[in-house]
Amino acid sequence: MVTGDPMQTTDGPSVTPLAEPREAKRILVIDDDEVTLLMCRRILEKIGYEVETFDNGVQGIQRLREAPAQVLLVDLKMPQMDGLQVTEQVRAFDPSIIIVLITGYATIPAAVDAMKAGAYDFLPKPFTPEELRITVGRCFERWFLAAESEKLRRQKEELQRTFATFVSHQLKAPLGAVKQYLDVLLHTSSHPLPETALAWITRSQERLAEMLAIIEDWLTLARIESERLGDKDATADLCAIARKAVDAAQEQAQPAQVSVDAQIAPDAAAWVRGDAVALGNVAANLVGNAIKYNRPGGRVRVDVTRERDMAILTVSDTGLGIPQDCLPQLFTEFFRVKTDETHGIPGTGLGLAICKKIVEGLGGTIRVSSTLGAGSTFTVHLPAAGESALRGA
Amino acid sequence: MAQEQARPGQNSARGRSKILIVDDDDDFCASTTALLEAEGYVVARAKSGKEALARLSQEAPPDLIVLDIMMEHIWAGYEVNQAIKFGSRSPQAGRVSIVMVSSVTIDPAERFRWAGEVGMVTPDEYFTKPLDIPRFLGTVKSLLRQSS
Repeated sequence: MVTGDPMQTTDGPSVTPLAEPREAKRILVIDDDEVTLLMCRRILEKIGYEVETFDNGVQGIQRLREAPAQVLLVDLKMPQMDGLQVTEQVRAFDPSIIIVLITGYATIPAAVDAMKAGAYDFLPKPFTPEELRITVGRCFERWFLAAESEKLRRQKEELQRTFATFVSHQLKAPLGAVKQYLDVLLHTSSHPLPETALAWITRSQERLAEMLAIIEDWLTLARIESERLGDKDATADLCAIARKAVDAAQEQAQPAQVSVDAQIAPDAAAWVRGDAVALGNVAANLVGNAIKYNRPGGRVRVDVTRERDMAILTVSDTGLGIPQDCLPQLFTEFFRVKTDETHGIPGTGLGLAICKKIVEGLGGTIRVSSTLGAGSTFTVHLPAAGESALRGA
Repeated sequence: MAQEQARPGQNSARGRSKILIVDDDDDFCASTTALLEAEGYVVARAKSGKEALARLSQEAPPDLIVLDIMMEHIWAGYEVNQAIKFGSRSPQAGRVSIVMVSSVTIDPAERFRWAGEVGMVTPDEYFTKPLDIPRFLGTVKSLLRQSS
């Protein structure tokens, strides 16, 4: 996708492939005044541009659809289709073209409208050959800059993609291979291993599992940062996500002797904007933490409610709680609460950072309140999708 | 440890189920082979998607295939999966179960929903490496039981 103007958003249909900068030199001029067209053609062709001229918007637009140009000069006041309409229509199919409005009188409201429609500059009539050359020169500079930055953006995206793949395959694969040797060794060994060997192998398995988990979390972060966490227009049911997280957590909760309950009616639904996988990640992280930083006999409660146009996911526990001085850093990457009670609890320090990135990326907020020794409550607010977003909850 | 005899399969000379591991990672193959052999299965290996397809066109198909996704290229495993699933529609080919494995962790439901949308056949099961051994062995066992 080519971004041709700061007024344009980066979302839009992708257009013609980028011409090789410095080779691009096509200009289209649309004006109902024959003299202006002739003058533009003479001046600009003399300094090496390819110029095509049209005396009306309809034909000019038609030509631009067939053969894109880098710069369009268009008269603001024309019978039938005026310069603003031409600008809007051309913008709709070519976000990269640089448009200059030729005008006898540029009022401020007209200028604002033109900029909104996607024009880059004005050329007041009458103009000298020098003024025309300078304006057109600046337009091409602008076009080259946009093309260059687009190229850089694509390179960066490509790098992020390949880097994530590299990390997955080249870093995780050897660690996984080593861990699986140890796993299979313990699983298939027919003789009891010496006590120290067993202890060290077990410890190695744990350390490898931690490292794999860090890579996994780090990859998730990288994925969120490169905005590849699914479809921006996707919607997800927060109730279903919460129920799924609670079900999945039972396996972790039972050995920890922590009870996990969802306070959500079976037919309740709360639709929010966002990707179900990413939001599932958030819910699983919060519920997982509530179990991990808890004690035998502890409880975890998961709620989904609605407040005006927000859906709210609440995960509260009767666990260890968080020291007040740790709360400000809690969502920072690699930060972990270090107390006697949390010592030895495995974790990467990335889970809550991931949650925050996902939630804020979806226009929501995540908050925590906690009492040391009594438990914590994490509250996620997410913009609801649609009017009847929540039923029965 | 668990040295129980596997269910007899129709394809192997010694009456044991035959499993083909398709993976370019020697270490993963070595440990997975050891694991499956300890369970009494007969294990063969192909080092690439291409080699797997060549073997399958020449030999009797195995009862189950453990199939890596990224090998000579990133979709090599999908291609093998696709070929086997379509190929095994012929009555004499029988049903070959496929367990896909990869170092990449993506929600399998999400991954294969996408695969389904572009017309790919989904594998029977999906595992992230390193394998969760009890779950992997349980899956292999139940898939072999289904296909018998």
